Amino acid sequence: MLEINDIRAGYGEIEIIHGLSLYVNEGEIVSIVGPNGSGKSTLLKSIFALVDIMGGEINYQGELLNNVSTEKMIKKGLSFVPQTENIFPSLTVHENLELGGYVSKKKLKERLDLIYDLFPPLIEKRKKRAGTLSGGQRQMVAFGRALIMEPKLILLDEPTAGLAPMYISLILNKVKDINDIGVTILMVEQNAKKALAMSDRGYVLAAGEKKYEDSGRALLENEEVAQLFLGG
Amino acid sequence: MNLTGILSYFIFFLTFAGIYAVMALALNMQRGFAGLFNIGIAGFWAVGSYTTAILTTEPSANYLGGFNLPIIIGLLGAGLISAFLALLVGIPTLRLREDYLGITTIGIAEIIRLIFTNEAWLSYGVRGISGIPKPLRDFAGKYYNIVFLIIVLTVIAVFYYLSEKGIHSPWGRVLRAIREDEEVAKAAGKNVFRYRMEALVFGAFMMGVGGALYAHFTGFVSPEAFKPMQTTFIVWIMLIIGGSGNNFGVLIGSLITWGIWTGTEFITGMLPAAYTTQAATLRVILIGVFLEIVLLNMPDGLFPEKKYNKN
Amino acid sequence: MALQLLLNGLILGSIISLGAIGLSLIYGILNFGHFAHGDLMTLGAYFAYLFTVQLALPLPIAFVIAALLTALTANLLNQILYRHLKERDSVTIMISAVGAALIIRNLIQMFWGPQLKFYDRSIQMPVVLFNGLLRIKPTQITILILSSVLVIGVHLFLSKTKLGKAMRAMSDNTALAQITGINTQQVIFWTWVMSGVLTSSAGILLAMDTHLIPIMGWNLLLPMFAAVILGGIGSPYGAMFGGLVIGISQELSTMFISASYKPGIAFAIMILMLLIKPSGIMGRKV
Repeated sequence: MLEINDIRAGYGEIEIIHGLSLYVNEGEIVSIVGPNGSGKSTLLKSIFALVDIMGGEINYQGELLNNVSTEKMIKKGLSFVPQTENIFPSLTVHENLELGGYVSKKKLKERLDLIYDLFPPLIEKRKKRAGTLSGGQRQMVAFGRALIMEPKLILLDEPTAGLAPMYISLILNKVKDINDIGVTILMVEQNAKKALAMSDRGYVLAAGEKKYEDSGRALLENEEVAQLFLGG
Repeated sequence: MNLTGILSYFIFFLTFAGIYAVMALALNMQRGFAGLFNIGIAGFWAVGSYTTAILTTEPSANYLGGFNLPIIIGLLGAGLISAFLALLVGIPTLRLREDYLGITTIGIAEIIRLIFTNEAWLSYGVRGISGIPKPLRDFAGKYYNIVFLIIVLTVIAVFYYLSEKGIHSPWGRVLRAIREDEEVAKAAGKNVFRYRMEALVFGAFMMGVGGALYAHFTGFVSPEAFKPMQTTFIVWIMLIIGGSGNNFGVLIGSLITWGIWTGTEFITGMLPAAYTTQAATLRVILIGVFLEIVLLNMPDGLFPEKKYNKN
Repeated sequence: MALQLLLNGLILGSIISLGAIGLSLIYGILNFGHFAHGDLMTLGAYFAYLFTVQLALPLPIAFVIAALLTALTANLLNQILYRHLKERDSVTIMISAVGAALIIRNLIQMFWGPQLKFYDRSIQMPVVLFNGLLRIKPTQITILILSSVLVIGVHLFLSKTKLGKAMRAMSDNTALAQITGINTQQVIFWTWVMSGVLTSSAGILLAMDTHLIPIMGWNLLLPMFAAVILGGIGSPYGAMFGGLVIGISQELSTMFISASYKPGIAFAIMILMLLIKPSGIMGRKV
């Protein structure tokens, strides 16, 4: 579904990702883990053209994604959920979701029903300003906003960053739920163990390069990975 | 015009350009080196002018003082009061984004104008203060204008030297680091607020002295003598044309801008007398358009800031 | 006395609010203080003067034409100046706005002269209420009705239409708006249109209440910024509220201090706000 070949990316003249390749198959959950500053987020952002791409190719469903406008990417079924500031705080929950995409009224109703099904806590908060919600609920709004346009692949940048411990498993379970309705997931995650445990496959990054790639389970059982990157 | 006429006009021209150059050097300290947005230059200018007027004129029943103090005390007092004002302006704004300082300086310039207009006990209101003493008048005699020009040039030299010295010191390096990336400077443990405040206050000191020079040269101040936005704007153009962050460039920028500004007076002076009010507005429009063209096409000015070593 | 001042404050406050809504949205969406906003207000008032006095069209028609022309001017400023400067630091774009302000003001003075001008010189009989405690001119009633209609219109636009919601969203978080697929160029265009229409209307209402003079809008710039900061930068509803607070405080202040310091009240409230809560009442982070 998504195939990245030898990508180099960064900010301005500073290259952070040094020639990296990965792929995601339809229906998978794929996690990218690694220490702070390893370039995980930069890699994810490069797919959505949010950082400067210096070389390499990004293919999505057989089409080259480099230089495609954000609008087109969204139309093709790609969606990105940033790590922080991923909601519009002064808009209501409902307005946040509506703005997820320009779709027909009927379609919108259908999608909203689905989203409220996935995230029941949002139902009673729908008229509340999103900025007043708890961290976990905000994350649900962010997921919901990304789901409106019927995405095929969602890119999640550290969905549990800054959340209270009690919410972390909850939110990761929601990621699983999203996957269960047929959406492919590529995520960057700090809680490497939890993320790999629920992932079909995973990549371990360090210093802007790919160190390991394997199934989630195999990476968890790999002693070298455990020692170096998962804190023993 | 004969040769002496041309010469004396030239001296007159240089004196005004020089007073503006003091303002531009001051703005360069604030904006060029520290990235601060001061659009209330006219306010600091007025405070400097009035301070020296009150300190150095003969005692008068019409306004506070005068205290008949030496002119050098007037200049220093003008700088200090202006610096104190900057301190007050900086307290609520320098921890916030740059625009808050901009809005606040416009506000303070307006308040200052209101005070000098309405508080007659302090400043004799709209009638203003006249008889501001001229330095070395008796000594200089008919060469007074030259002597005054030399005084202005001396002030420029002192400020230029101090400013260059400051910007090449560790203090100046921190200042630029803050301007480039506030977060990095904060992470390095620098007290961003303090450094910004120092730049704002030093700059304001220079502006106060500049304002005092202006008062002594013209001998008269009144609230109407300042066209606040126009004055402020011209100083900004000097900075931008010369090259923000480059003291030498700013001096050249002052000369060029003052040349263009007085030049527009020649052009509009050719219009029939019936159009004099239009002519005054046309000058501002021309210089405004000029600034926009420079902003769009010459982002770094004639003399871009020198590349300093990052360490 | 207080009642009369309250009314005057309400009128001034509505005018400030109308200008401040656009100022706040521009701040939120384009991330800079638009220092030419007051002079755009003046321009709107003079456009209306051109059509209603000089070209003898009915004032309502002049009102609409002036609003559209001001909206066009606002977009021209963005196209010619601000758009090209947005990659540079915000001080550069703001000094360019100061330049635009001076150019507009002096163009106005060149074409219409520095003297006071009026839409209508006839003397109006005020309606006297509460045994003479309150005198209100018919024009003032018109101003209050018109500004209420405009504010309600803005509210409906911002809360009911997709474009309005997108505007608020972009003002909240520009980067997120982009990756959400909102057409940011379109939002920016309409933001300038709306700001132009509102600030022009504010200028016309101010001129109806008092008179026209080239400095009129510049004099309201500080109160408008104070309203924006009070309400929270980027929040249109905060700006409406802030405008009313500033307008009413300015008028009521004359009970305690000399009227000549009225402009100082907006400034004092702004400084107080910067010291206590710089993010404003309805604001986000600074």
